Parts: sequence; structure tokens; C-alpha cells
Amino acid sequence: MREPLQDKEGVTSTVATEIQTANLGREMRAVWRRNLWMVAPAYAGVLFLLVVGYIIHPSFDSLTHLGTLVVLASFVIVIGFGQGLAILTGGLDLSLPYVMTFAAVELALANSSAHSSLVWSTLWVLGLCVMIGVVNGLGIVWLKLSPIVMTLATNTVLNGGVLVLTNGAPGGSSPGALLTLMNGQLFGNVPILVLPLAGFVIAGVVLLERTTFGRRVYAVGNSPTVAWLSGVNVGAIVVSVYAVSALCSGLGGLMLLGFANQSFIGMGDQYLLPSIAAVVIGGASALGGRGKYIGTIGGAILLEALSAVLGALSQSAAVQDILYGLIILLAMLAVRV
Amino acid sequence: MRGPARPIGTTSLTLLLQAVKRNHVTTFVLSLAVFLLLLKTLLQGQGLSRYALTSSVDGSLVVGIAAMGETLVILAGGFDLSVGGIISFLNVVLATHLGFSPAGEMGGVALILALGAALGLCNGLLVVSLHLQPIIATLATSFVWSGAALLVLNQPGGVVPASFVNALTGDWGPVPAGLIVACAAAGVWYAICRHRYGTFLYASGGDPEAAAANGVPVGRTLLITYTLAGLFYGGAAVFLTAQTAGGDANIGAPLLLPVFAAVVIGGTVFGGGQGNAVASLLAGFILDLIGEVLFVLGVASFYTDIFEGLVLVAAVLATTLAAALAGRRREHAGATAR
Repeated sequence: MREPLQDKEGVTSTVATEIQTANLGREMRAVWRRNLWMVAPAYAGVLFLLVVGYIIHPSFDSLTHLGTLVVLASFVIVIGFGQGLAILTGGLDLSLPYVMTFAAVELALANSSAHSSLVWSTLWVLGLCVMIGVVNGLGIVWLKLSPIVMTLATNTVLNGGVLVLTNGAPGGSSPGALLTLMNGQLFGNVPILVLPLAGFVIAGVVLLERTTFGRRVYAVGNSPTVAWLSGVNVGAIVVSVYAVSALCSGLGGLMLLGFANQSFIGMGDQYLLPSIAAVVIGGASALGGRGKYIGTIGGAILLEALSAVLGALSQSAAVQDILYGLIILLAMLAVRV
Repeated sequence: MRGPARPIGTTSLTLLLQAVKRNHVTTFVLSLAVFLLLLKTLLQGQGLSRYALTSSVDGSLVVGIAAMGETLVILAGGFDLSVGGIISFLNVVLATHLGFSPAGEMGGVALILALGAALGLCNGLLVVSLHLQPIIATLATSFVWSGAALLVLNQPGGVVPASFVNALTGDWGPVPAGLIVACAAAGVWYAICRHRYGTFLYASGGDPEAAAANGVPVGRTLLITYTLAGLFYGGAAVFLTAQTAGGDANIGAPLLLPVFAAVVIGGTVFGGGQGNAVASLLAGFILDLIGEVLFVLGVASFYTDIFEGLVLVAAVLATTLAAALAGRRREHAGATAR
């Protein structure tokens, strides 16, 4: 039984309340539908690719294959959250490659010393990544540099930094626990990674959709001026966004280290473009203010499924690359339409 | 396009200062380039030899010319991530289709320039006609062209006649060929600026809606911009082929970030409407000089990247400072090249 609203004079108006609530319901359903249209194409694409994959290779839908798909897509799922945040605020995080590489290299180095503790090393590395992100954010806010410029500069400096740190030859290996996390399996088929990944995804969605921070990020992305006038501390939001983005990049780097059991210069380079592609295919606007993390996840899975299907279709890396690009274009046209 | 008549009492010095003030970014970048060159010469202890100058210019021309193309796109408010892919593809095509006669060589160059323009046009059509966001459209085409490059030549190879290599990396009379190519590229840019298209370019990038309201054909301008950018990428690919004397499908990928660095150091603003291509060309030169100065100083090459990143930030800050000192925040659209 809905309580009727009371206006200032204490006059109740049940009819107005009913209309208000009905309108609110209709608006919410409209918003939900709009979000669905924004995010659906990515998942439709994934479904389509899984079907195609199954046709080509009937064992495609086996749990093992799907498990591998999820693990391979997990890198972009994690770094896509950070990149998505940066794109939501109208910027771009070009420092992703070398934050990833730096995190991997640093953990490998820390791990190679005899008295290393995994927990403290990981916290130390991730803390450094957050600091790098804060530097990015401060450069954008205080020095008024364009995000592209600042993150490009950070990437270049980190590139040199990693070279100096490792003397050009990264060494060390992954901590055992990380190896198990990335490569181990539960019940024979399901990757262990699925559990923490699910936790990360839920945390990410909640952060963007249900917290004040998330609302403020969207506000800043839509119009920094209006956000400022509405009392949002735009500078703090931007700095936080790039800090989180660097954290996600660092996590991605650690995941890569665990998966490949080695770190090498340039290991992050191939993840920059897919991170951007996943965010945009997931329905985000490159100009900011619009986009959902669920969409990014769909984009990440789609890109990985696409790689897998193309790998099954053709042995030639050339043909795979060409089709990869063409299908991304098609996906974009579908999202737009 | 002539300037206003010279009032009485205006000395050449005044005119020079006015030109500097109008083009403060280019002046700053040029000064930085000259400074670094002199620094390098000083540190090396030998005089400024022609060989040193030539090798500096040659080392930077590929990035510099590619950056000029990228600048065009960014001036128009767009983004082009397919630089690397296009250059790789053009490089392998040239390395496998270059004739062995002077006519064959010139034909090859013409083919590559035309092909570059065509690839640029593809980008433009995706952005303008299909209304795709430039970031993702050019990201996708970069995969397509890199893949196509692998199709043409899946192992580094190709045959490049020695005469071609010498023509572009040697000397034409007293002047290094690289310098002439650089001047030619700059000449193309200035021709663009003088043309009506140049005005449309700055207008479309600065404020597309205002431009459209004023009758600027924004869509067509964007199309031409991407096509011209492809032309510049073709030029870069020609020079790259001469430098490396071969074709390699992977050669373009690492060029993306240095090209963006050059565009940024050259004072071009992401978002459009501000900047100029010659400054980007000079910035490519600066990037190369940083490496050389550090080398001469005996600094391990690992530190070069760190310095490049710092120079990037410093250059952009200095550009902003110079703009503030020159008394204006924003060039009015369609004005002289900065």
C-alpha cells in the first residue's frame, strides 16, 4: 500500500502520487532498455561467435575451452575497467602498457629475493601503481595537460624506468601462488581465476553503478563544468579515476606474470588497443559520459572469442589480423545502429 | 594572401617579432631543435659536420613526416591510430614492387603516395560517411592494414635497388636529400595552409558546429584531411623504405607512440583547431636529437625514454606558457599557421 505524498500545506494528493510513481517506473524501464541496447550488441556478438566456433570445431563449447576463453579474456576484463573509467571522464590512459609491464617486472624482482612475502610484495607493487596513477591524475588536473599527453609521457618514462630497473633484461619468475591462481583449475575444468574475477566484476559494477563515486564519474564525463557547479570535486574524481586505472593495469600485469610465468619488456604493448576496443565495443562513447562496465566485459569476451574463432578458421596471422579489424568495424556499426 | 601594408616606422625587427609572436609555438620548437643541435655539436667536440646533420635529419624524418600527417587529422578534431599499419603496408608494397630504373623508382614512389592517400580516404569514409568514432575506426583499420602487410610479405625482405636508397639518403648536390624531402613536406603543408581548405581545416577542428553554420563543408574537409594524412604517411613510408633498404611488415607498429609524441611536442592540441604540421616535423627532429645528445653524453640508452617522457611534459608546459605570454589562449580559426 503506497503512502500518499504530502506537499507543504499537508494536502495529500494520491492521484499525483500515482502518476509520479508510474512515470518514475516508466522512466526507469526506459533507462534500463537504453542500457540494454547499449550493451547487448557485444553479448550478441559473443553468442554469435560461440555458435560459429562450435560449427567449426564441435569441441568449442566444452567447458575447458570456455574456461580458457575466460582466462584469456580476463586480462582485458580487468584492465578494461580502468581504461573504461578514463574514457568515461573523456580521457584515455595510454600508460597502460608500461604500468602492466612495470608491475610484472617489479613483482618478479621482489619475488626473486629470498625473504619475499607474496602479500607484502603484491601490496607494494600495487601501491606503486596507484602512485603512478595519482601522478597521471595530478598532471592532468594541476598542470592542465591533456590526458593523452600526460599518460603518454608516463608510459614513456616507465618504459625507460623498466629498462633501467632490469638493465634491459627482466628476470625472475612468478610467485607460486600467482601461478596457481592463473593456471590452476577447480573440479578439473573450471579455472580458479573465475572466482576472484567474478568478485572483481561485481565490485567494479557496484563501484560504477551504485556508489556516489560512480555517479560523479559519469557527471564529470558528461560535463566537467556542470559537475563542478553541482559541487563535485572534479579534480579529485579525475585523480581517483587515473589511480584506479593504474591499479587495474597493475593487476593486469600481475595476472600476465602469473599466466606466463615470466616478465618481459613490451609485454603490455599488445593490450592497449584491445582495452580501448573492448570499452568502445561495449557501448561507451569515446568522448565520455556514456558506457557501462558490463558492456566492457562483453567487449573483452567478444574480442577474445573473435581471436579464438579466427585462430580456428585460419592459420595465417595475416588473415586473422585483417578479419579482426573488419569484424571490429562491423561490431562498431552494429553498436551505432 | 598578403599581410597589411607596412605602416611608417615599422622596422624589419618589429615585423620579425610580430611573426614570432604569431607563430610562437613553431618558434619555440625551432629554437629547441637548434639548441639541441648546437648542444650535440658542442658536446661532440667536432664541428657541425654535414654527415652529422644528415644522419640527424634522416633519423627523424620518418617520424616527422608521419607526424605531419597525424597533425592534419588531429587539427581536424580527429584521431588516427592506423599510422603504423598504413606505413607497414606501404613499406612492404614498395619493397616488393620497386622497379629498377629511374622511371620505375619514381613510378613506385608515385604508387605509394597514391596508395597512402587511398588508405587515408578509407579511414575518412569510415569516420565521415559511416559516422564511426575515429579512435575505433582507425584502430580497426590498423589491424586490417597490418594484416595486409603480413599477407604481402610475411618475412622481412623485399628488394630495394641501391640507386633508390642512395637517392634518398645521399646528397643532391651540396644538400642532403633528407633536408630536401623535409622542405618538400613543409612546402606541401604551407600550400595546404594557403588554400581555402586550410581555413576549413582549422575551422572544422576548432568548432565543427560553428564552422558548419558558417558554410564550411565539414564532412568534405574531414575526408580530404584523412586522405592528405595518408599521403604524408606514404611519404614517410617511401623514406623508411630507402632507409631500411627493405620491407618489414612489423616496422610500422612501434611508430605510433613516437608520432604522437612528436605531434604533442609540436604544440598541436588534441581536440583540434590549434597547432601546425611544421612544428611536428621539427618535434620529430627534437625527439631524435634527445637520443643523440644523451648518447654523446654517455648516458645509457635506457635513460633515453625517461628523458623523452620528461621532455614531452616540459614541451607541452612550455607551449602553454608561451601561449599565455603571447597573450592569447586560442588561435582564432582559419588564422595563419602557428
